[in-house]
Amino acid sequence: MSVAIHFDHVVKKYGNNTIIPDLSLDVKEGEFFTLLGPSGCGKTTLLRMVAGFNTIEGGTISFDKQVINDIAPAKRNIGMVFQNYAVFPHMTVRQNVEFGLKNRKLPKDEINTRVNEILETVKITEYANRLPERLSGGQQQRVALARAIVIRPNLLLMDEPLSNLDAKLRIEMRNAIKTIQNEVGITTIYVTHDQEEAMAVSDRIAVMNSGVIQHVSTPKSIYQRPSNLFVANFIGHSNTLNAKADGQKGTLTFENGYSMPYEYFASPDTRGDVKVSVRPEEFIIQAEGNPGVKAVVKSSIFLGLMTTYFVELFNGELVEITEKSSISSIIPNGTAISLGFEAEKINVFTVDGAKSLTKGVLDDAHT
Amino acid sequence: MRTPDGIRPRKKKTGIMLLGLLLLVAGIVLAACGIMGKSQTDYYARKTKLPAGEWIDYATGKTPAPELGEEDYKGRNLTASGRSKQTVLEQLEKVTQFDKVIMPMWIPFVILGAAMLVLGAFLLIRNDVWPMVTVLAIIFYLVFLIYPLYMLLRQALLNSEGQLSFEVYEKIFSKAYYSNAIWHSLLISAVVTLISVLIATPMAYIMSTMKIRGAGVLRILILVSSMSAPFIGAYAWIQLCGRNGVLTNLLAQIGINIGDIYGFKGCVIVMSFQLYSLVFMFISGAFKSMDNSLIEASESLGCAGIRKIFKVVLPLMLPTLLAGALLVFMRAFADYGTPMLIGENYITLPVLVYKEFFSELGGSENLAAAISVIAILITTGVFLLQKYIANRKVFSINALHPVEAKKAHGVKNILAHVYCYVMVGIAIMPQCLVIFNSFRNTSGRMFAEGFSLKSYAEAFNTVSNSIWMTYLMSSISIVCIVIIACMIAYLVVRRRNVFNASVDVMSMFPETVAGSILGIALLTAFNKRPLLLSGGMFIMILSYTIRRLPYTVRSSAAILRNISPSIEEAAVSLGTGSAKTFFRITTPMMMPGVISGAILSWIMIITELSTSIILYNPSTKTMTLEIYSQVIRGNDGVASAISAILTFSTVIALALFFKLSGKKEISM
Repeated sequence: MSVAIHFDHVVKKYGNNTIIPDLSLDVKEGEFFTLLGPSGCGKTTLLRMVAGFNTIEGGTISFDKQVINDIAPAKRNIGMVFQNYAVFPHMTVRQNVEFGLKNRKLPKDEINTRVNEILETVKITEYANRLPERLSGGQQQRVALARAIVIRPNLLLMDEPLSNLDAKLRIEMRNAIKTIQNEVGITTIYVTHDQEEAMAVSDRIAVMNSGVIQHVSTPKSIYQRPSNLFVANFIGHSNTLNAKADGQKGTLTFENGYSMPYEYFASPDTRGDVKVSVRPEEFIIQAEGNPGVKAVVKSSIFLGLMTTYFVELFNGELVEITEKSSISSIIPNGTAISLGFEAEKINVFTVDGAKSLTKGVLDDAHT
Repeated sequence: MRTPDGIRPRKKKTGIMLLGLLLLVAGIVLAACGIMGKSQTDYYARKTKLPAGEWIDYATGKTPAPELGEEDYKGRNLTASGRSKQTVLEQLEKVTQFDKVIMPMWIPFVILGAAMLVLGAFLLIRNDVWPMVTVLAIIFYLVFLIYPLYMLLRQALLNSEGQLSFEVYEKIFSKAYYSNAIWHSLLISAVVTLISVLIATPMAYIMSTMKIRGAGVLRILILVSSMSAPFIGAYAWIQLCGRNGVLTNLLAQIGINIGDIYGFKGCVIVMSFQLYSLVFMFISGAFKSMDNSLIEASESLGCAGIRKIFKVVLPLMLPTLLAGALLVFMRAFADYGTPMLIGENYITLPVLVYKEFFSELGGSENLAAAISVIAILITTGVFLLQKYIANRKVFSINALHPVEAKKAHGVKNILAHVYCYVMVGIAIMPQCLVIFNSFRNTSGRMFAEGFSLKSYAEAFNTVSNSIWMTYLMSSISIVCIVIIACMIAYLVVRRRNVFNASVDVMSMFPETVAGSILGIALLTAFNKRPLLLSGGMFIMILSYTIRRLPYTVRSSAAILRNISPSIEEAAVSLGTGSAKTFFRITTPMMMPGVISGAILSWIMIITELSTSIILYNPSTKTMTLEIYSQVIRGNDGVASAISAILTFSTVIALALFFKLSGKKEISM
């Protein structure tokens, strides 16, 4: 039985050191929810508070309506998957998976059926009687996943489960995790610092920084309409340019005087200095002389599907631009160009970067 | 991000925990008082030959104290009834206020104490089993380590009237007999440490960088020599080079007088050749974790040969070298058997302490205690100094390419082989000699022509109890050591807090206390009623346990640090409590490492002499004690046979160690 999780003004401190000052958040039942942020942002701390391995210094965490602050970790009915798998090395795959069920004193038949079922689901039936040391990293992580799910937990917690795997296996495993979670339908909280991984698996993502939630929404919405400059820079790559906004006229004017129409301001009252965040693929490269921001190509990298250009703007700032590779030649270094923008895709923020001025930002974070 | 919480579960209920703790401690104290009351009653009852109940009535004043009347005298002598009244009166004098309260009440005390203990334990364990383990560990060390050391210190500072006095110290430092012993011990330890380092460092370097034929065998021989009972070396050297030694006589025949081996010279030779193996093992281990690229880098930068060794290799090994040197220093400083046998008039500290403590002629327990305290101060000082230096010079090396042994050529190769063979040969000589002697034919106490198993037969006939006791006590100790060490290691690694840090410090402290001094401390504390523990198996096992715990705790902690806490968290999240997690998950994972460490400790216990010689009684005599007394009696055949049995046990245990740990050598 899955639960919805409710974080209400949660505080985490180590001595006088506050890791999470005040955090509120709702995770829906059956949802694949990801905590994403740079290392040290408090995401793992928060996850371990849910698991019961960290104390909660303030506020409450509840499963459905039940506050779980004072329930022992062993009694929370949580499945947890760890970064280093934490498979018991002295037990076979089957013994590992059975472990939680035996603690729950289920009848033997039921244990057997459930274990066989889950081994099938995560595709490790053939290794059932092996010791973990004879399994690959990916297989061990499947064991850890099976062991966590087989107890039919209210909630599945995953702490960077893929970071110890190599790149290829990581993609394979994240697809497997997503599929299995869909099948079982358990509410899942997933912690990662890899934004690509987060986008691939999550229903919704909470971007965290310094213990504060920056943005909670679907992957698409977070990528396309980030709620602040930190989110824009952390998810994918962004270049930040200075400009002046005029909400009444609907224009953005860049430092060299280039002015472009921009009809996506959240409020017509927007005026004055702003930051414009432009992803590498949101530039339009034009020949010199066209209206736009003046720039010079410094170098380029051909990556097959895309070509990346490193470009110096008129004011000496460096930006990164990607274009779909074309069959015609790559723009040579030193070429002067003029840059335009895909107005619908770019985002405008306040000068301090704290708030988006673009319309269409969807944010479920409690403010 | 790994948070320092460990797997401590959620909110701590401080109030309930404190109550539980209070109940637990109070329960233990009450129950202990009750048991002491019972034992006091039994003691007095035995003395007065009265039934316990009657005696209690006298003691509490229910029955008035007997008076000696006219009728109790027949002539001028006491009658039988007069004598018993007299005894009662004598014993009544000794009754303390504590006795008066506790003796009639011992049953309620024990019951109440046990009830509080159980309730306290329950309250403590309810959330988490570990706070109670902390409490028990602290009580264990307070009672069996801190209290004895305190008693020793008391005896060292108080005179017979119980006043603070430094007279003994004046005596120690003014009389050469005493102050020389301190000086002798320091000198021997320092010289032995230096020689050991000088022998072992080149040898470890040679064996790590050059291919030596039979290197595997050499390493095992070195190990065996380091594991032998401390004074077997002295015994063998005396047989070889003593006044009537084989070599002495042989050389005398061709007119060479090698002088005598007794005294300072003998101690240094014997100890150096026995203890250099420790430094060797440390440095060999350091070479294992040394990256060959560092040596190659040094060579490519133009620093090769001897310069390379002094500029690059040695500085990197310094912490290890110091750790090995410290161990040698401590062992040499604490060695009792060697100076006793071969030192003759060259008296060292442990010998002096023993003589003062047990001498019937004018020995002084105060003096022995005072010297012990001085010895503890010295060893603790050396220990702290070594820690201080080593901590400032620690480097972490990522050994991607370990140092490989290469084949050397020409003179260099020959010299390297000669050096290693000779040094190992001398180190293992005592063992070989002893084993050889054990098979020689004997007549009476003398060796005779030919070979036989007579010595073994006599050993099994006369001292089989010692053999049995050695294995029994060492095995019980090892079980205790493994259990206690695993738990303390868990506290130290997984539950760092002030209390567990203090458990850590206390468990490590015996390392700096020489065996004989710990023995004296235990004896001082526990040789009087009501805390009478001396003279039995218990105190022997206790001393072995306390002395070997530091090593086992340290090795267990190292193993535990390599086990990710998330494995335990996984178990907890799957529904196991803290105690079950420890026994089902943590312990099985630690066991292989802990057991192989325990085997080494077991060898140390069966070959230990300095504590046993202070604490034993005739029924708890061990093999080393037996060898020692046979040597003193000149019964060389039996002594050799028991020594050989000890060596065989060591070799078998080592084989077991290698099999269990899957290692090829021992790194310290």
